[in-house]
Amino acid sequence: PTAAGGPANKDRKMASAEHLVLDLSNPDLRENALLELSKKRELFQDLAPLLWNSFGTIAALLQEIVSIYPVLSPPNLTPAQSNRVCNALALLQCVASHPDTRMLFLNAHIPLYLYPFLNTTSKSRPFEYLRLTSLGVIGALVKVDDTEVISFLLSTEIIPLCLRTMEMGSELSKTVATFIVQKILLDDVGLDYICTTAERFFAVGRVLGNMVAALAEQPSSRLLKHIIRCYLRLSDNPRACDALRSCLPDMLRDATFSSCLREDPTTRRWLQQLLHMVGASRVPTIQAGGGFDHMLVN
Amino acid sequence: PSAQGLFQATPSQSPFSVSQLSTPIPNIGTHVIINQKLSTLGLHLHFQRVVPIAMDRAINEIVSGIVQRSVSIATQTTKELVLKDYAMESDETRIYNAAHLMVASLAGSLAHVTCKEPLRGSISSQLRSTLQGLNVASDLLEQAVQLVTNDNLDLGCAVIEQAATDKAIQTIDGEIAQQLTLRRKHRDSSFFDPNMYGQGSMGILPEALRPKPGHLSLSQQRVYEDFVRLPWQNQSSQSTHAVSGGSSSVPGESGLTGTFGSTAGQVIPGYSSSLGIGNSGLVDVGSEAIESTSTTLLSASPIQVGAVANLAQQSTENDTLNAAFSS
Repeated sequence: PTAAGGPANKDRKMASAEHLVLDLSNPDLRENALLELSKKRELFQDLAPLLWNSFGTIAALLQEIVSIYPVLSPPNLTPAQSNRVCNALALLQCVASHPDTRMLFLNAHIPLYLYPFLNTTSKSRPFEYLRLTSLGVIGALVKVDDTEVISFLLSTEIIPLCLRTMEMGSELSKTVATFIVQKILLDDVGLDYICTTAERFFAVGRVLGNMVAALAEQPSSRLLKHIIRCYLRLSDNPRACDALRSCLPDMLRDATFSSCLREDPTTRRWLQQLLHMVGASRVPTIQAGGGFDHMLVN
Repeated sequence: PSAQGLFQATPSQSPFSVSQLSTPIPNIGTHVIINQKLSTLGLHLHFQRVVPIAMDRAINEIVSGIVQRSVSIATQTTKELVLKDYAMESDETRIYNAAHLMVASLAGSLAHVTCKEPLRGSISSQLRSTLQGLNVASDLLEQAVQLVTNDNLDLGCAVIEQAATDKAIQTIDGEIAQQLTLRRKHRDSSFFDPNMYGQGSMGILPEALRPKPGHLSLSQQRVYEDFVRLPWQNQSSQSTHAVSGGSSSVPGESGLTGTFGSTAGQVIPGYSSSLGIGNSGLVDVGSEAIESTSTTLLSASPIQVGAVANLAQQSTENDTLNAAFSS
């Protein structure tokens, strides 16, 4: 019975998606189309190629983005403006997620138009949502492990933007930003990039450490999981591992988070691995040309 | 050191030489704003003398880097999107027109939004160093510096935006022309661009959304024309600085006090209700990211999967409960 209902239903859905995509290029109909499409984007299969290949749609979405640049500083973004641009970003997230459009999206440098949003500092809710949704687009890009994506993001300086959110964002934004850093670190190119200079390593290490300290006050097991995974991955680099011997927060070594991790065997295992890696010798090993200390002195 | 500097990528090969930048500031002295309050501080004449110099130096300090980055990004975006959308267009003038409108808007917008904070710092420090020898109490001087910086920030941004816009328009033609030459070679058969549509991606595109041979419909053309209507473009195309100058003291001053977090914890009436949709979309974003970790990185235990499934509901609650994180 579903065999007959299925395709017809699918056709009807696609027809309405096509209609809404067409509406996107009309400024008078755009706001509603953004709302409807972003609401239903999971229902429409292959919405991403439709968005990308249809005439003017991506151009229209870019207009939505740059049109709110003027209210970023001084911060004057209204809830309605935030909502509208976040709907446009949700559609771009679709394009970033889809295997047929991801590289086209990167090649047109579209992620870079989101960076000004990640650079904002206002803690009001419209800005929080804007940053979170923008991070969601980047998160969708890094979800698939693709070195080309990681290299693009590194060369466009995504790391300091992520670190900024990890320092001052909401718990959810921090989690997504840390997830992005984790995915970048898991790629060899990313780990090398972070560990190339002592300054970079310590910038990341300091932010991770601050987040751990903040978690002791306000625990979040999902955020802690990503932080621990970042530390564990850093320990794969010999110099970073060496540095972690002295700068890994004590709170990760004692029982501070044991209740937080009770339900999460995987993260507990990661933490054990991490402590094993850095705990092998608590005494800093001083070798000529070895760790970051040496690099910093120079 | 700030994190931003540490991660500076090596500058990518620029499509143009920075030295080609024309001096971007023709008689900036006639546009600068010298606030009347400076008279009461007794600093009016000093500032009248140094503000044009400081502005000129501040802009020159940052303009080339910002223009280069903005133009390079906007050019790439425009090239990719215009050639895609105008794959069937036979009239090349239309293609160039659309490309000009888009690249000017994108480059200008990017330059403006990127230059604002660096320029603020640059103007202030140029003013301070120019006025160094002045025998004035330092807190008074600092107050004046902030005032003048805020009054003239929009002017400086407009100048940099204009420089990016001009450069972008000069740059895009070369990029497009190269591609159009290739396309012309295929003219004989049709205006079909085999690179674009040979991969069957158009197969799934419904009739109404497909670019058609020949000219575009009016509503289609309008998408690109709308790039002219974006806010900053309007500002700088008007006889700018009288306009922006008059209004600048208001946002400028609120910028001084309000930029960093003073809005924290402020509850916006009606926000949570009006944000219904965006909200659920956003929660998605977070949970998707996390979900992917649990599936790709962990051998997801049933407990974790459960936690992920709950996330959507939980975080909706979180968002309303903690008018969050504001502190």
